[in-house]
Amino acid sequence: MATGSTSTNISELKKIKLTSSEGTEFVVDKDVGEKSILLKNMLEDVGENDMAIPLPNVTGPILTKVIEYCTHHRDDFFISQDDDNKKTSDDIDEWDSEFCKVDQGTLFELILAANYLDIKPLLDLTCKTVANMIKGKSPEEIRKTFNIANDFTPEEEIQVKRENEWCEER
Amino acid sequence: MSIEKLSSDILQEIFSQFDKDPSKTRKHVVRERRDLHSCALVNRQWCEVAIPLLWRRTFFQLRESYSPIPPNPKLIDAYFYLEEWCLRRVQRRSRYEYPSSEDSSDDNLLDYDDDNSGFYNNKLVNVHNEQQFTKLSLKKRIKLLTPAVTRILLRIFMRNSTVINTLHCCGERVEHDEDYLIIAEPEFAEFFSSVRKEDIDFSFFHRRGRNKPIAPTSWYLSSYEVKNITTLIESQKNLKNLIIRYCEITDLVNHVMPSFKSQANTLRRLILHNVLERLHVFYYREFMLAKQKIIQPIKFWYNNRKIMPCSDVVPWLEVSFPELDQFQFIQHADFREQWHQWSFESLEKDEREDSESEESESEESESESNENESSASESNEMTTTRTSRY
Repeated sequence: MATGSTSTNISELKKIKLTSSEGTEFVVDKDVGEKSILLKNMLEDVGENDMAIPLPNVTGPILTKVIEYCTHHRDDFFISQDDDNKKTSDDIDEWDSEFCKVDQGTLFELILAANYLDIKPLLDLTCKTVANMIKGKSPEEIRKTFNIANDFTPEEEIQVKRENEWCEER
Repeated sequence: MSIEKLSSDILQEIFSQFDKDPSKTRKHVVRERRDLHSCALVNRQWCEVAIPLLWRRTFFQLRESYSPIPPNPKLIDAYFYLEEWCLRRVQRRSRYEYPSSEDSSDDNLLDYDDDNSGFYNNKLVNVHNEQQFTKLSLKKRIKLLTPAVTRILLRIFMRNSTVINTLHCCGERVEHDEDYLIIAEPEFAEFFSSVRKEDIDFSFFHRRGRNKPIAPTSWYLSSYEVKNITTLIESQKNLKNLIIRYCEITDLVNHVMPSFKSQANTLRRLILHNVLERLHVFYYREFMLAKQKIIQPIKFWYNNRKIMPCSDVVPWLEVSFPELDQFQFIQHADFREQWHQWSFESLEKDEREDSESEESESEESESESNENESSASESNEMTTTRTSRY
């Protein structure tokens, strides 16, 4: 997966090895891998090491996507939480938006991987994408979109509706 | 993979994205609420995640135009501010629909003997005499409706939140002879003792004192309320902070304080606010005696100066409070003159200066104390800090 860096900076040339759940090995530049706080902390803990880091919760195709995202954003200074909160869920940049054009299953797996690997910008991006799929929809439309079963009893549903009707106020 | 496999934490992350508009315009807030409301109606899991987000700022919004909110939102999970302006707002919003007693058998709003008002057809009405009720001024109607509104807010809140760190109840006397402590009614008391909770704050004061002179006794908790407070405290589990305001000293010492025993193992912070009335200076000694037993060694502080060291200590009420590290006694300026005659002779000079400068304010101090409860500058504040543990 790794691409050769033109930079002469030695630290950027360092590689790390990751193993997906199926046992496939991925080699990535250290700076790309360190977009994941989980990996960054691990690397700090174990120090210089050639051992592959096993990622039993992430499949190969998903890890490929994650690495694609981290590679594209390798030079971004990942913004802090505060700044991030100022962004709206609408302003997703073009590349990110294309990146998220995947089937729902992949999207949810990306969310899980981003959460597990602790890559906040990717988690935000994928959650934003799902949030945008929810926005403006009625409960029934949401259920259809995501194929969710309604497990409320009729009484429960009425009660939730009644107690929260104030939200519909304009 | 289906979205139903996502954990509640992840769902919360997704729903939180609705809230990331920097402009926070009214339109945006309404849209966010509507999206969360839709999510709440999808299924049980979504409902559990969406409801707390939906109710997160409800009470902040209710009092958005009011005095500063304590900065830690964790401390204000439940903040019911039952004052006239709040009720007016509730009334004005005709779109608010509350459960009416007609369409819900288990939600009888009129369970209580003292409750003579309720909701019918989504309108607030007095059920005893509707015709007469509609002739009353809005102000009077609001006063009559306070308990009903309080109960409904509490009931709705109870169903929407199960985590409370602080319950801050600012109550208001509706009528001289009608005293309410709604949270101690069986339905609510059970709920408030079953949830995780760290604090209780009782404060009762009389807003109408601003313009009308009111007999001093009407400021304080009635014996009915004292009994309820005692029951409520005793029913709590692991209370950490307890703040009591406007409780008559005799009731406090004889009835309320013994109930602290039930929370002895966890109580960290105890604040007694305006428990002395002008006419009750006599009891101050009694109070001091009770208090001396609480903490060892006691240091009294006044305006950051140590004024009275006490060293004799007996475990208070034969119980130790292993976690207690803050005890605060706060009294408003209005009462300080006589207060200091008791035991703070050493400060007489400072006091005279202080009271001279505040004399002009003393007439207003009753209303001020209501208005700005937390203002230390308006009150004598005495803090004892325990420096060693049992």
